Amino acid sequence: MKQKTVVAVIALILGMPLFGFAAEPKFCANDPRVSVKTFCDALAELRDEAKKNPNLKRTDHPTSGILNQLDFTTLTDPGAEVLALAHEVAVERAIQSGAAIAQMYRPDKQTTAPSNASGTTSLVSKAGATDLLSFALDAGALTRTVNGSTATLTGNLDGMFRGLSGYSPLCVYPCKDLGGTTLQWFDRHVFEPVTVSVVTALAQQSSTTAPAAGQASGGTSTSLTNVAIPTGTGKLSGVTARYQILNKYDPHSESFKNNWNKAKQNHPEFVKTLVAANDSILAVRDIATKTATKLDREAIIEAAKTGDAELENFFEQYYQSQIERLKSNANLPSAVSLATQNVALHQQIWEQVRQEAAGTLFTMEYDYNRPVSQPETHDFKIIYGYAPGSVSGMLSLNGTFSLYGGALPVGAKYGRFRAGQLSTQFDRSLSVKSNPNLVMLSLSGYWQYQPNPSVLNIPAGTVAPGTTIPIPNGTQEFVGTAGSLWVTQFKVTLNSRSGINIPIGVKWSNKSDLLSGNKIGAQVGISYDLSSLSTLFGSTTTK
Amino acid sequence: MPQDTATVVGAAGSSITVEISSGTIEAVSWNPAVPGTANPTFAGQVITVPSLPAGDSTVRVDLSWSPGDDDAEVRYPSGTPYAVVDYIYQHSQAGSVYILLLFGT
Repeated sequence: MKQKTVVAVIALILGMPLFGFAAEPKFCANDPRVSVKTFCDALAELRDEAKKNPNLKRTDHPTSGILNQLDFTTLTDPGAEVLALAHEVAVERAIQSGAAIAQMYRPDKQTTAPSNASGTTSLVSKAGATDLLSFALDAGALTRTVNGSTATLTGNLDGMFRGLSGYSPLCVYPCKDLGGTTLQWFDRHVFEPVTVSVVTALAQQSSTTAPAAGQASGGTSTSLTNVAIPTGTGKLSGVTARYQILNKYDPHSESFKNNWNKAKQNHPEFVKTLVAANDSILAVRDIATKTATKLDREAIIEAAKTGDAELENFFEQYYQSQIERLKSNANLPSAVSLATQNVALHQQIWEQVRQEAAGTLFTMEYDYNRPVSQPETHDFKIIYGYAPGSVSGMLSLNGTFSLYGGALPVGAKYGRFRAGQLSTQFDRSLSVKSNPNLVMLSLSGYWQYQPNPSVLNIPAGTVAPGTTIPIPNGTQEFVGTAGSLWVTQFKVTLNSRSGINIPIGVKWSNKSDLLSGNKIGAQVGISYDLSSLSTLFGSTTTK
Repeated sequence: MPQDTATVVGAAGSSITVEISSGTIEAVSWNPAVPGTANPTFAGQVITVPSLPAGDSTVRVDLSWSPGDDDAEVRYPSGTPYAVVDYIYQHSQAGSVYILLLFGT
């Protein structure tokens, strides 16, 4: 009975978005027409003025100002017009592309497998993650002896949910809320901060133990009861779950305002990108004002006095007539495309300033790892990301403790605790001609302490390494040394404009997990943030 | 742009001030340039046009939005006939460009 009550309460809570506790929206907020939705603020204000004053005239204040926003020959607030035109001239992909380029410039995104994978280019995990999906291929080990190749697929719950439900994962801040208040709570506290990665070792053979059916050759007198047989190539080697925690802040507090102003001063490109975005918006406005015909101001006021639907329909008719005129201008698509991309770039700088003003970005990470021929491990990591205002770069700090998973063998000479780790990385972008973030340089250091040597699994049905002695029941051996493992890595990441990143790293370590002695190795990878493909899911930037 | 669609109308040569209630004014300029006329300036939330040109002119206002900012009202400073002459909406954007339409009689 209690269970049923709990289920009923949960169902009721989840059902709340259907009833909705949100504030009363403007009458035009949910209209599907781009014209009405984009210019809804001005239309709602005009409707309110008309309701308040039955004798409203077009020269009254603030009516004349509102009409200037709706009239394509004046367009005094042209940002909305650019957003609307982006849809009308089919450059939705350009908006997403602009947002994707901005995403590419984020130095805080973790797309590759963590440092304990057999194939990875990341010695230190970064605090941020993709907004939708990312895919990475990496080759070369950092802390492991076994060199491998991995494929890592990473997804953000909020991005995937938005993509699949038609909301844009790369929305322009502030993102439109999903549904009602309960769903919004889940979105902000569960979907948005959670990222999940699946790591597959591409060159790692899977095997299973099967009973032997008897000796086939006559060369040895020892018979085996079990044998390990290969079942495939490519194996799930790890799963990572991350939860981002941004310091809570009150935008209305004096301390936040001070932090905001300081952060803005630390980013001189803030105003530059704003002005550049506005320059390109005004270029679109110039095309529009020269092509458009005047709004019939008396008629739209009469429509506003009559009712919501009449006002919406009147404006839709005027809007469509202007769009038809504008579509004949061959320069419009490229102008709108440039404007949307410049706006997206400014949004990105704005977001950096907001994060700096809000404070520290922490990420909690859990890694489940299945290294080849070693016991599975559970790693718990805390990641701190810091972007110093005066320097163009990003500092990441990691602290980790690692536990052995599964049942420890009876009489095991090691405990549940495997190792503790501390690591840090500084990323600095280099400007190359027109691309300010073409190259990212990263320098990282890693320290791991383990109280016991590493544990190597020798599975049942195999022979002891270097011998022909069969081990029917399997065993575990200590390999390598206890104590400190030091690794340092220098990495260059090439960021292409298409969203593909190519990291190339060189590392030095005083040993690896199974072998003693210095080791120098190289790592290479390729990753792609699939956020730019969000329109494939049918999402749009206005939703 | 006739006189009856201008956002602000004043005597040519007079000084005009308007206040933007929210957001942060980052830059103001003539758009297009008005040769031989002093550039508009801003201090805090107040924009000043030292000498209003005769006829039509437009001032470009580059505005950034801070988290928590409300949509802005464009208004004459208190004590003048009209408190609010226009609004600037955020449109889910980090910044806005606003065109102030002036007419000097």
